[in-house]
Amino acid sequence: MEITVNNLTKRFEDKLAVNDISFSIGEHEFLVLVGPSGCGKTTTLRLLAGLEMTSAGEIYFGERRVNDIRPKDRNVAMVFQDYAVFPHLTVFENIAYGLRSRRVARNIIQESVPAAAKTFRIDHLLKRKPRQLSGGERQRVALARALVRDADIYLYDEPLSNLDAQLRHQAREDILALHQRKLRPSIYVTHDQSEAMALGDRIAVMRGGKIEQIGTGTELYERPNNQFVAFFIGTPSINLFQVTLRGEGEVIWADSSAFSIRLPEELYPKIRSHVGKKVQFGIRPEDLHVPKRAPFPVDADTMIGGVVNVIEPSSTGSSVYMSTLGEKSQDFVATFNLRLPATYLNKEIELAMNLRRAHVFDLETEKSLLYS
Amino acid sequence: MAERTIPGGQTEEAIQAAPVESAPLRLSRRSRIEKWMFIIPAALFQLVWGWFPLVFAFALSFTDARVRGPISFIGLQSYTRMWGDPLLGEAFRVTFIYAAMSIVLTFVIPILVAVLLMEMPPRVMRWMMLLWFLPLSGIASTILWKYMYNPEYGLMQGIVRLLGLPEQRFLNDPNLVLFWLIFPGILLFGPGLIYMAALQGIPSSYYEAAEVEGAGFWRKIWTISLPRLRPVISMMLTFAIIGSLQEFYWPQIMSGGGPGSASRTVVMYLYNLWGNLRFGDSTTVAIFLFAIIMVITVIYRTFYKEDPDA
Amino acid sequence: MNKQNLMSRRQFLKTALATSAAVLPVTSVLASSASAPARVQSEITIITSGWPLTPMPTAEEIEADKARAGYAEALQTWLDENPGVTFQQVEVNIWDQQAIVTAISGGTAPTYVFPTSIGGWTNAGARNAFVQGLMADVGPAIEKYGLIGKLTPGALSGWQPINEIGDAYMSFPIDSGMDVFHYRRDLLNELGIEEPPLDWTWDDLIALAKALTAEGRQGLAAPTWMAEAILSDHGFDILSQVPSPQNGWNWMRDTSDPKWVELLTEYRKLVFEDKAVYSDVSYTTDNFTNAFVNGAVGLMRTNVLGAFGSAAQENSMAAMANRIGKPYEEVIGFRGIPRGDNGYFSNPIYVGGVAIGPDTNDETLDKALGAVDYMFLGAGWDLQKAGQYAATQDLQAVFNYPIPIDGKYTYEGVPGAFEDAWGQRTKDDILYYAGLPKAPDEALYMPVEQNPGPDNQAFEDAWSTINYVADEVDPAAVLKQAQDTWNSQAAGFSSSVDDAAFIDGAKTYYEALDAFWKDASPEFYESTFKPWYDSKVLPALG
Ligand SMILES: Nc1ncnc2c1ncn2[C@@H]1O[C@H](COP(=O)(O)OP(=O)(O)OP(=O)(O)O)[C@@H](O)[C@H]1O
Ligand SMILES: [Mg+2]
Repeated sequence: MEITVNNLTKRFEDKLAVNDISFSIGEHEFLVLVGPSGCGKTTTLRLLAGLEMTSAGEIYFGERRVNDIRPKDRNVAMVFQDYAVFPHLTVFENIAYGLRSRRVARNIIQESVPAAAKTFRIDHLLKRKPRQLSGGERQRVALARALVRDADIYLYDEPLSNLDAQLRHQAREDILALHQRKLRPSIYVTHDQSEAMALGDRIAVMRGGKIEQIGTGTELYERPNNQFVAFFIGTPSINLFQVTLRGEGEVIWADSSAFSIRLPEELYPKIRSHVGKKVQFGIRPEDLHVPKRAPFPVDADTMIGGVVNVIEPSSTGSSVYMSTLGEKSQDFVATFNLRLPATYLNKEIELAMNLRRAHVFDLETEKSLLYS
Repeated sequence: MAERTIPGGQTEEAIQAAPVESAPLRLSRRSRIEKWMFIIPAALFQLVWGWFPLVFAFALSFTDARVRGPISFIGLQSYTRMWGDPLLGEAFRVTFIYAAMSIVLTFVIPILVAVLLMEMPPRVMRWMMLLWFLPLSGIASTILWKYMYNPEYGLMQGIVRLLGLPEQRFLNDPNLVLFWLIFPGILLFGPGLIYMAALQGIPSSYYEAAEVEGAGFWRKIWTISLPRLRPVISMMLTFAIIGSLQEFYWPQIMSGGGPGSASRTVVMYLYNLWGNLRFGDSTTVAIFLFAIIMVITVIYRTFYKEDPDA
Repeated sequence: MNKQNLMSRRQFLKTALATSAAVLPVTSVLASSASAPARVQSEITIITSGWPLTPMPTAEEIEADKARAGYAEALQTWLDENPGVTFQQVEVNIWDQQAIVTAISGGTAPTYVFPTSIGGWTNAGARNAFVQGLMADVGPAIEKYGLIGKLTPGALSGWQPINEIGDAYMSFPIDSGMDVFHYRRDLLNELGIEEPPLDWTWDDLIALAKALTAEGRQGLAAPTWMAEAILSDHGFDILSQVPSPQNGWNWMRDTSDPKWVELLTEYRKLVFEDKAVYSDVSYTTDNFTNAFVNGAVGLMRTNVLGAFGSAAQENSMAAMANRIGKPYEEVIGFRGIPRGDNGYFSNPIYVGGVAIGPDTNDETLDKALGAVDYMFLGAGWDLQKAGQYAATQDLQAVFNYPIPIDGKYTYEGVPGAFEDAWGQRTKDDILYYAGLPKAPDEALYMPVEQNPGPDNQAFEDAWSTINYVADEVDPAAVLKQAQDTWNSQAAGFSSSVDDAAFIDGAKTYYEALDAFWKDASPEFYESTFKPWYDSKVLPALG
């Protein structure tokens, strides 16, 4: 059963929390919602669950328009940002809550509750009260409660945000495994990009109540529609420089105070209209390379120079924080899959840009010239 | 309510010493000393003002105590005398009915009303609360209610007539006098406001989670509101039981215990005995009442265990 | 002794305190500030709660209430004659039994206390409290100030039996009151109803109550004890009590006479069928007074001590007469307690007095009562009254004591007399009732009881039921239940008086009663008392 949302709007007094969004989720799809705090993610979920009335627009569960259907009749499962585990009920009763509400036969409850608990490895805690559980265990109770029954749609509101990395990883696996078993449309809100990438069939990026772009992780990363998506997806964020496009015969150059580079030809058809104008030029940190190790031919026209300010080792290599040379110096980041020795600190180095993976955005509309 | 400080009223403090769980935090030496600095005076105060009078009353009940002159022990004379006193039996009957009625009407009903009110849109609820809050101070006035209940020109009779009901005798009706004494308390809605405050403290996500999990209106109340109110209910019920078994002020002022003995509570009766210089008998009744309150409280506490999860 | 008197008197005293009515020194308590003067080094300190005497009023207090000048002058005169004595004001509610008993037991009682409140508002209770040591013996002062010689015979006979206990005295008399029924004389004239005779009966009262009942007005204002009053005024207090020396407690109640049920039935008819009675379980004296002075009630039982408030007081009957625009006597009339239709009657006058806290030493007791004697029965009284008159020019305000215990109806320095303020007829009628013969008081004959006994609660419940419960009530059953409850309570008590002494006392008491009634009311004697005496009392006393 597919979920379709048409022109959905939610207004709180004068605040537009969700602004005219449309999207659909395929029958087996796992959609991840990301976006900055306050952009309307939770509100969107609550609209789907029926906890908020829509201000405009429509929500369809399959053929059924659910706008006016109460939450308890929508057959939605939801994991809340703050768990909302009932403190006065045992773990067993918490998990059984939805089944009892729906008058599921006693013997089925006796079977399915321990099974769901087992999935989340809390089957040994069934007799406890939430007070006697760790934060992670409580989280899993919330998950088990939502997932013990067959819902038409599963909604997760940052369910793992309070867990440590390891637990989070495990829970993520559990959720995914469960999803693969149930194969029902799911929406998952998170702040964690790696989580978004790992879980989502598709990812929707929201900003200010609007969906900026929906697509697979790779799509969003490699072909962002606009500067916001480009900036929001990827850690560290994409480096943006204001440049002027300069045509020099067949060649288009991007000039800034810090550098002057020659753009590759395959970009020309999309950017030619902006020659002579200022644009935002974007290059992801991973596309900056130490010249000697660059997986592409390097020349002086692809280079950016800078002073090394901070070297931050990471699991896979290092992130290097730098400032451009010249008068108006600007900070930027590069990530390497090698460890840059500390001796480079405060040294001036030159890096090569993989310009085939560069992005160019309109200065006003912030739209990508290359991918929109 | 100075009138409540009657002989034998000491029982109140004695029973209020309900077990309180203290957080077993590790305190520094200094704050441990500070802790004792606060607890010792309170404990002494309780001992002197709570337990000493109780022990004193207990001792007094075995004597033919008088204010001046020799006092002699008379054993259980007061006990047998008061045990056989038909008016005391009657006072206990009245007190139990009063307590049961006032607990149902001013304690249980407000729970339901508060819970239902919480389901109202916030704006409506705010108005309703204001409606209750504003007249609070005035509503508890015995003078006002004496006028309200006047069978000739009182407002209540007016309402009764308006509703086309048979005329009422209000406080003059021995079968209904207790109800009419309790009635202002229903309007007062005192516990209701406390319940509402407690209900407002329940995170709304509990209700939302329940809704998503398919719970209807009553199931939400039964599985969330009421369990979450448990600690408040438990505390308030203890007070309500103790308080209503020791009722004195309203019947004393409003109906003087009448008509006949229809609204004379045990505390009023022991107050009268004290007035007749029957100190031993009066304290004996206080001891009876204390024992009964004690038993009820212990039974209630045993069956109604504190729930640390609520 | 008549219980209703005491009950309404208690209400009266409360009202007096609250509404600044009759007794001047009492009213000033309210005006005087709560701050007690620092204890002045002196030989004798008299501690007062403000009654019956206050400390010397301050200049501001006199400024605020000019009438206080007379009091100040009188008290100063006495203080000059008694150097070394000071008055000190304390805050104790001597009208509240619990408060005053607590103060006495804690040693903080004032010098002046009120015996009846200590005794729970019954004479028997007060005597009992005296025996238990809650008050000092004022006998020496009675003797020293020649009190017995100062009282009228009526006042003496009203005061002495109750206050003389063994060879001691409980209180020092200062004033006197009695219960009467005030009625609206103007309404009677308007309706063409004949004024009841001075020796009216309950039948007259009931007829009058019915006649005065009209739209917006009820005939009779009735507190709970009105149901008891109809019985008491037919001799119930005497006839419902029989000695039973064979029991631990030497008395029993016997209400089997069908007369009582008959009377109660009649009374309930007046209340519930004729709707001629203004009563409600929640009413207090204030309700009745207000109803009367506002015309909602035509007939009301009051204590004369509070009834003679000057027209300057808003809630007084005199003010009501003013509002109607007629002289007091044309608007307000009164009759004493009605007689029973069986010929029973009573002299309802009582005498009130001040008692002294038990911790008071002899010297202080002497000075304290010396001051009371001077201020109430001596030259100080006239000085006060003259001063009050000079300040107010209001005769009604000055002559607010309708039954002076020393018989003085004129005061030196005040032009006029009681009758000028309230009318000659008023005074004559009061004197008529004051002159009625007084039946022997049980307290004069019976040995003093030292132990507490059953109280009157069971009967008070009965009166309350009779008075307020509109549904079917069987007066016979109600009365029987009260009697049985009382008797079963009595079984739990034992008397401090041994049987022989009790029988002796009872024999002389009943013989005196027998002699009294034979003479005072042959009708009552023949029809009721004698048969009862022969059949119930004599067999019980063997
Ligand atoms: N009940 C409400 N009344 C008014 N404004 C609201 C209400 N609920 C949400 N909002 C506003 O709507 C906007 C979207 O809120 P929402 O909770 O959907 O954000 P979010 O994307 O979930 O943020 P976060 O990541 O911090 O949870 C916010 O600006 C918020 O202040
Ligand atoms: Mg959110």
